[in-house]
Amino acid sequence: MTELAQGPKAADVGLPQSAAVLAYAGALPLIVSALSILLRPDDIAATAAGFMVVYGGVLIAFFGGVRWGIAVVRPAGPSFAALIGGVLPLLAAMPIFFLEDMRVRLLIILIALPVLLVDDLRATRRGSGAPEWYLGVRTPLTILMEISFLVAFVFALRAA
Amino acid sequence: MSERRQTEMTTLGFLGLIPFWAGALALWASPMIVPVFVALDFHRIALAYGALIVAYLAGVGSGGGLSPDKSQYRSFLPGQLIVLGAFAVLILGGVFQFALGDAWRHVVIIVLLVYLLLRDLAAVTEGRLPAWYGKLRVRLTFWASAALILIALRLFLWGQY
Repeated sequence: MTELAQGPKAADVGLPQSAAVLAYAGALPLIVSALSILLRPDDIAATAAGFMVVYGGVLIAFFGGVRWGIAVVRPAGPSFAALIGGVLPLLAAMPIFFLEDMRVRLLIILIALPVLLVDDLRATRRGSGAPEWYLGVRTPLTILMEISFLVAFVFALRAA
Repeated sequence: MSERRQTEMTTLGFLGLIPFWAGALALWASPMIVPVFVALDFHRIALAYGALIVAYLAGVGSGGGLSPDKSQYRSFLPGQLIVLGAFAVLILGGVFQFALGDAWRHVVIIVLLVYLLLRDLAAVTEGRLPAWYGKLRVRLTFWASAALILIALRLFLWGQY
């Protein structure tokens, strides 16, 4: 079994509590928006989905930046692949703000978030990524965000 | 880090300024050379791009503070607040009763960029980020801010604030 499949080592699982609280606080606007879509589909759902799309685009850029920041502080500096990998999330996030179709915009986010997570997990496995305690919170957080965006995506499909 | 890698990073960084300068040039070339509606599209692209760059740089600072040693961990809070600022710039085109004029939204981006530069320079001084990165950030922030100032000025002159 690979190290990735085994998950973080027990000693690394405990992460700074403040980091966990902040990470989940960052997902709160998405969760509240998703709940709004579920509970009030006829009035504020469209506004909530609009909020989520903008927030999702900004989050993708932020996670790309985190990945790049980790590469920058390495003693050898970032590899060219890390440089390009850091820029790609920015390019992926740009269309989110200009496409008309809400379904496509949400689909980009639904694809980009797990791709970024898997890339982070692989980088950590190679020893060139974030410490494992960070990914200990990123993984459940990404799942939570994916569920929220999925709610908005289903709403957008029905509304179309 | 090798000189070649630094050159690559500098090149990538300056390529990243294109949307800002395209916006500034389009706005100042309008209406004589560029139609107003095209120039305003460039302004919207520069605004969204600026907010994304702010979120990205906030992430870079947060990533730089991620130490394998948990006791050395730096809080994500400043980065997350900046992300909220970028989110506000994008969302405040008019939601509920809140709206921020176009020119002022660019001004907010400039303020956030300068804050992030100061934060990164402090990290360089403390040894958490490499010195070459600080030098590159100074140059890029200067040129990005210059373009955004030109955009904001043009929008102020057009009364879009």
